[in-house]
Amino acid sequence: MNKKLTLLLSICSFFLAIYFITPLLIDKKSQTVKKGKEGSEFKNRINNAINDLANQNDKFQLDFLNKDNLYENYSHNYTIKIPEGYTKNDGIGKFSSVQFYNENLGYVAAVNVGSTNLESVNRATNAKIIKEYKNEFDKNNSNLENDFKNSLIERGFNKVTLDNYKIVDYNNRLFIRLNFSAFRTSDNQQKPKSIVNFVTFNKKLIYSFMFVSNQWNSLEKWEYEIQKSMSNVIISKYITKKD
Amino acid sequence: MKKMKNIFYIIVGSLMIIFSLKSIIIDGSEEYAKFIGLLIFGVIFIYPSLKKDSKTASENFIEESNIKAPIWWKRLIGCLTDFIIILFVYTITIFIIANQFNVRLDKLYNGLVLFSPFYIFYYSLQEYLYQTTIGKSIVKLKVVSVKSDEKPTFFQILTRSLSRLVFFIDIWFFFFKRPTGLHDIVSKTIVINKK
Repeated sequence: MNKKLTLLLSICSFFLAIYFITPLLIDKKSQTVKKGKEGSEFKNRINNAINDLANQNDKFQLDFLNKDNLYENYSHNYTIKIPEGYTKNDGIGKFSSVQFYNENLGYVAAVNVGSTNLESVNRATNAKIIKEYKNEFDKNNSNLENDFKNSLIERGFNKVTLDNYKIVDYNNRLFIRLNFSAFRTSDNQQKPKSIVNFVTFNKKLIYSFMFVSNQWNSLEKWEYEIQKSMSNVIISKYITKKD
Repeated sequence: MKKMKNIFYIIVGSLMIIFSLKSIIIDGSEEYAKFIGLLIFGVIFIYPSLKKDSKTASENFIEESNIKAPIWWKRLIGCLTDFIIILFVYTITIFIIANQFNVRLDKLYNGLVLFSPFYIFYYSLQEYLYQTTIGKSIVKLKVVSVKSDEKPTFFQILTRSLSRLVFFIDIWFFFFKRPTGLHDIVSKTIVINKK
């Protein structure tokens, strides 16, 4: 009887200890990432940045696409290489983003830039923010995931699922790469789509480089197109118009 | 076979010590827990093999008491059964934590680090209270101290459970003629058939 009681008490104590230690473990992990930052206020500010993506900058676009399909945007100081045969479309509305699309293949590359509450984010701060994002995704932060999903739903997709995510580095700049599966309704038919979104921060802006594919069976070729474009993404104050 | 076993332990122990010293001196690592752990385990590995008669207390006990050590597959069945039970409890706990705290703890921390407390707790508690575990009781085995032929002390059981953490090395004992694992040697305990 005594042994059984000891066994029972020990098991209860063990699981109680886990219950009380878990929040401490979570906090400890968060602290290591947030070290030197303003805690939850900092986290809120970067979460708000995602919502700001829906509200595009209405700044006048000054851009240039050369014959080698290198697109330079002087309003937001970035470059991206657009694959051959893509048509550029600026849209006509206040919140339109710069889009490049290939009608034959059904691929779309879109660049969205939005303002945030962050102050002069440099590469190092961006790296911290991107790692914080990854950390939040690791913790299954449903709010953050929903923010991204909602921004896609706002763009006409439905049944959006976040398949996976990872941190990637292009030209000394960290991005969080988010792979989504979604559908788009066309003539009452659900058409499957794959979406890859690369998000990064610079100064007060959040940049989203989004690639959409119509087809599930040509992902290899699509990935090649993505890598070709992303390897030419540079965000720098020196990307300005020639005098 | 005995000589081979000793050489194997000395090589593994030396590698542990070299690796720990390299990490702290050459790499300038600040992972002191890893350094101390590797150093201790390295010494634990080497020490019994360098002893004059090179026989462990467990092996002497088996010879002196004329005990028939259990067949290796009995211990393997017990070990696997226990492992499955621990894995099951661990998975359920992680699943509950994910629902309760909205956090995948196994993604935040190394899975092995999280698994270890379950492993230690499972073995320590059962072996201390009942001298056996669920897995061992299926194949009718029990743990005794080689010092007294009776119930091991709590310290012995704790040492036994902690040394099990070097799982990938400890598991090798199944391939030797006499099933005496690292955890048996270190804690001066032995697993015998229940009468």
